[in-house]
Amino acid sequence: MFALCLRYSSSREEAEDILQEGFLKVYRDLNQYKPDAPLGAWIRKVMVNTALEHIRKKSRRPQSHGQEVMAWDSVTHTNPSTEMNAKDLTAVIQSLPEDFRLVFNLVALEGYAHREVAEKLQISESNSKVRLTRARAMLKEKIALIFEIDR
Amino acid sequence: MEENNLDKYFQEQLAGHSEEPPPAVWEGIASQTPAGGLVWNKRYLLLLLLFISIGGAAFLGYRLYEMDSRVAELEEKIKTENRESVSETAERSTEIADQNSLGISETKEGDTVISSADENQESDRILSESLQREDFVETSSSATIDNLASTIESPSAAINSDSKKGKDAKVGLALTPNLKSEFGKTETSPKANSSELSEKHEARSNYQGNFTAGPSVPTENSSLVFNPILLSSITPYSMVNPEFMGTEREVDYFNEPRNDWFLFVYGMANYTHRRIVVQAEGSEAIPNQLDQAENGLITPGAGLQLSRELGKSFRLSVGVEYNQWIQEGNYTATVLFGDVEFLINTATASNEFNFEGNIESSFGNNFYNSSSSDNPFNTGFELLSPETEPLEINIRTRQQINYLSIPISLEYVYNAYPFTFTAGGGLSINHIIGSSFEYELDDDAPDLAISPMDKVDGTYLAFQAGVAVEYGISERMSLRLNPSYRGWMNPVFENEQFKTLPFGVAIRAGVVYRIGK
Repeated sequence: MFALCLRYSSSREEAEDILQEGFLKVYRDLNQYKPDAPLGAWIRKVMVNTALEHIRKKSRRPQSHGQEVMAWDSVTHTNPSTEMNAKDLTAVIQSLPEDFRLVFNLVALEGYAHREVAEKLQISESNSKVRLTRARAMLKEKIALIFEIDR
Repeated sequence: MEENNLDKYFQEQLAGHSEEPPPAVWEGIASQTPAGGLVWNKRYLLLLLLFISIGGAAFLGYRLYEMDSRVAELEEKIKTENRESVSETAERSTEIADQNSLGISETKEGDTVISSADENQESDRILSESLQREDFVETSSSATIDNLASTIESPSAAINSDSKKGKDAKVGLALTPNLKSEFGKTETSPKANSSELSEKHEARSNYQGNFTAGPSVPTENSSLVFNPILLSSITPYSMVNPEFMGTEREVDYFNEPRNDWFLFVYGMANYTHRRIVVQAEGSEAIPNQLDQAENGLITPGAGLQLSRELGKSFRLSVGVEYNQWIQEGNYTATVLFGDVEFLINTATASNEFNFEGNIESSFGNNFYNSSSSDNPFNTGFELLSPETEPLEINIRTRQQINYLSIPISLEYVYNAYPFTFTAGGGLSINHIIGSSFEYELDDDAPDLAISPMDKVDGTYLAFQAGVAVEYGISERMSLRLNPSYRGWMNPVFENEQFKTLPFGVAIRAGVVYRIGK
């Protein structure tokens, strides 16, 4: 679950906050859990919702450049002959601007439809699509850049 | 890398990936999950505070009610004792007077005068003692008793005088009917009907008959009947409302400790705004911008309030009212060239311009986005460049919150008949039942969709304080005007940049109906 929180947040500290809030919610709302669904999936859903709520509470001012650089710097890939590891990819995701990061996580990794994402983030469906397109483009650029630097 | 491949690549690489959080996270979770299973978050603390307030107010109300009941009980007991005592005294006095009458007759026959004068002195003494006790009971009774006392001065003199003159003891015997009328006794003394009665006894009989018909109506047969309408009871108000004049009940009503219920039905004008209580360092521009951009509106409301008197000086009230909070905002969204995404669809030979942004208000963030085939910069496509002037879009918003309030307050009451003044305060539980968001754009603005504001809901506590003035238009009805201030104790919206607390001033105007004796 901490890995999931890391992907939704822009820093390790923020991910720790989300994890803590999420587990408190799990503890508090455990009576709402229905045993016919897997417990892991239910906890994962609570964590995703907690992450969205946490981010929504934050100021939605444009992402500061400092934060982006910090996440980007944590990419530690050094071996061009092998694929990037999960930690590196998580850092790449963290380096995305918040709006794009959320949509990419929800659609590409969690499998939500754009309609659901639009509802969760209170944006239009087309906007969700635009954000995903931009997020993918940015990820490609960043990954390409890493490989280029390594070469 | 194709888009789907990219997604798949991330999914595969991240599948099964796990990271260990630092131990501090688990310690933090453990510290916030007590063994009892209760998480002491803000909600529980607010509920606890609410229960303590209601419990405290109920306890205070009960104690005051208990005290009043006890005082009323004691007063009733003293009244009853005094009535019995004075009644006995009156009978005793009548007997003495009868004996005096005989003494007068005897005087006529030349016997001693001193013996009857001594009897009269004893009668005066007994009556004076009784009257001193009666003074304790009620103001109006005291006034009546003053009247009686002045009458008492004359009887002994009158009787003495009569004893000497040997005739017409009518004046002196008036003290007996006065005493009886004070407590509403109307039975006629058996002696009054006796054929052996002297002239003065007939006079008393006449008086008592008149009293039975009504003590405030003088007749020609009752020259000594006093009118119980006291000068002190005549006010400008009582002149307009005669039912408030003259009777003991109305005169003393406002000075008696009471336990009546009151129903206040009102309409209200309410102005709610918010003040910035916390702002992050370096974020000065945001709140200032909000201050200039938003204005609260005066909104209508209505409510009911039920009050219980706690003695003559306090009232405990609980009510329910419907309120609105409307804020109008004027924002300018600035869209830079770099913010706009241009998509060219070669298949359909159409263009798409996408941009998005965010405005901040007291209630949170509103995202706007635009996706249109029209160029938002209103210029030819070939002229677009990074140097293109930023696009400014004026957005006028109207944010409305509807909430139900349950005000619980304790008021100090001061009666200045026919006015009543109150001052007090308490807590108010405000539950948001709905919100709405509307916006308007300039005619030449590009197509823009603005998302609703962050969901505003929940229950909030507020303190409130106010004063009121009531004007009685009848014994049961009065008009009430009640200005008040309400300060919310927790924010409807906050973020890392700033925190605001709503506050409101309201004027309630309506009718108060007294439900009670």
